[in-house]
Amino acid sequence: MKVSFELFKMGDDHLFIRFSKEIDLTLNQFIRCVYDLILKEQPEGLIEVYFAYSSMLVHFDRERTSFAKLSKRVGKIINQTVLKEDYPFNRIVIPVRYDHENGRDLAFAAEYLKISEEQIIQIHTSRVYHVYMLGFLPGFCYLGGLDERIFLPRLTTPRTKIEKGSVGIGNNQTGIYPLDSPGGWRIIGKTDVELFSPECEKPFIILPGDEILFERVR
Amino acid sequence: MEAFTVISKGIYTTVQDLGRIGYRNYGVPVSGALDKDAMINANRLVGNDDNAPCLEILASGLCLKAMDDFQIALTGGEVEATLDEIKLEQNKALNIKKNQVIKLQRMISGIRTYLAVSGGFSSQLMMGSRSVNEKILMGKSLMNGDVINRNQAILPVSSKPLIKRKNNNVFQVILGPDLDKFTKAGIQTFLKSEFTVSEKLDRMGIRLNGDKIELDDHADVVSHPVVYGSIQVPDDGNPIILMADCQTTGGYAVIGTIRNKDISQLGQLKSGDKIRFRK
Repeated sequence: MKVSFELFKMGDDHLFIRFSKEIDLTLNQFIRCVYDLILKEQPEGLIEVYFAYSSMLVHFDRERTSFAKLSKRVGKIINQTVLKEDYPFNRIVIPVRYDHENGRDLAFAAEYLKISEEQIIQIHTSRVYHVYMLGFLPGFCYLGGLDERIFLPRLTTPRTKIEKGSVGIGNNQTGIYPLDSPGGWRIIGKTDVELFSPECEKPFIILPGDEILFERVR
Repeated sequence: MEAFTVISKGIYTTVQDLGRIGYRNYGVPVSGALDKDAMINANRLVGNDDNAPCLEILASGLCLKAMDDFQIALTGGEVEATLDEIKLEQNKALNIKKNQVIKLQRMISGIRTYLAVSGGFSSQLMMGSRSVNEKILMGKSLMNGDVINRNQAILPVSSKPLIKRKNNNVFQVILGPDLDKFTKAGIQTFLKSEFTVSEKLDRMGIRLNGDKIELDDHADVVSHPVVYGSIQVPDDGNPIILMADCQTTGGYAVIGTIRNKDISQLGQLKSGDKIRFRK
């Protein structure tokens, strides 16, 4: 895949790479491959690398490399990156209890969308969602691909506490709250999957570029 | 080993090191000391590694009782502090004895001080760091009655010179990456005007007031990485400086990011302070 990109200095020790100003699924998959290759190649001076929808940040150690040197090296890595259709992402299944007890806005959703709760659940569980990036909270996934038939408006006043594991819809996005937090999305269910386990050796199960599926459990 | 009993927790006191590196791809903020220069100097004074956990103390009111004999150093903002009712000298290694009491009374300049103990504080290591960020369940701020521990001091690891800095509230920035979101006049406003620190400030961000920075259209960008020291401008034209606990990505146009040599000054800003940016 031939991509263009721009390099910027973000402060003294971060290299910011802009691939695009838009959101694009294939590009995001490509960026995940760049990320994997940077980790594999371990350019001299690399401290940390992470990415968002269509950009990436490389944190480097100025005592071991320079912005110019690292830019050259990373540019090469980007040009070497191949987007394989079967790039090694994970597909993670999230079991969700969709009911009134766990999804306090499910009834509202059905009324608002003028379809049955069953249909909402069926639509929500029938898609594969691409994880574009994590942010907002540790382990919070920005997912793409929500079916427009179940877009729901955000609450005008966010609730002060949404419980950990809540699955919600906010406009054209769906997602899971990884920990108790304030939030303005409509809640349609809840999962017991721990997206953020700070005490564990591996605190996270999902990486940007992965895919998730919601599965109904009772 | 025990270091202190917290007699009075003050306004907000947390353990901070140089930050939690390696989890930003999962949305975990870096955190860490805001005035890194002061925190590193405190460590160097007592012979610790630069990254040894220190106490970051917001304003005044903290009172600690020593549980043992060890060395301390208090750096950062200037504060009226006492050790057993006698003036405690800042920016100097001091030997403290069991049962002696440290009191921080009144800030004279700045807003945060840093207390290092020989060996460093030894709170729970979480995801590679001891920096507290309560919003994401990483540790807790000090409470009255807490006993805080320290590590056995090893032989001094470095005799590095102290970092010298003058607080002039001028911040050199590297412009970008969203410069195309601003008008030429907007960029000039950013570099030429004086801004006032508003009352909305915490470890996540500082909102500024002053001349409005003109955007070309609207401030929204596709969310992209941001760092401590990045300056976002939302639609109202009032800049926000992102601090160490900021989210890993942001959706407002970033006009620039503060350079390392000036970034630690951010930790000493308080409401009403006047600041400037320069290229």
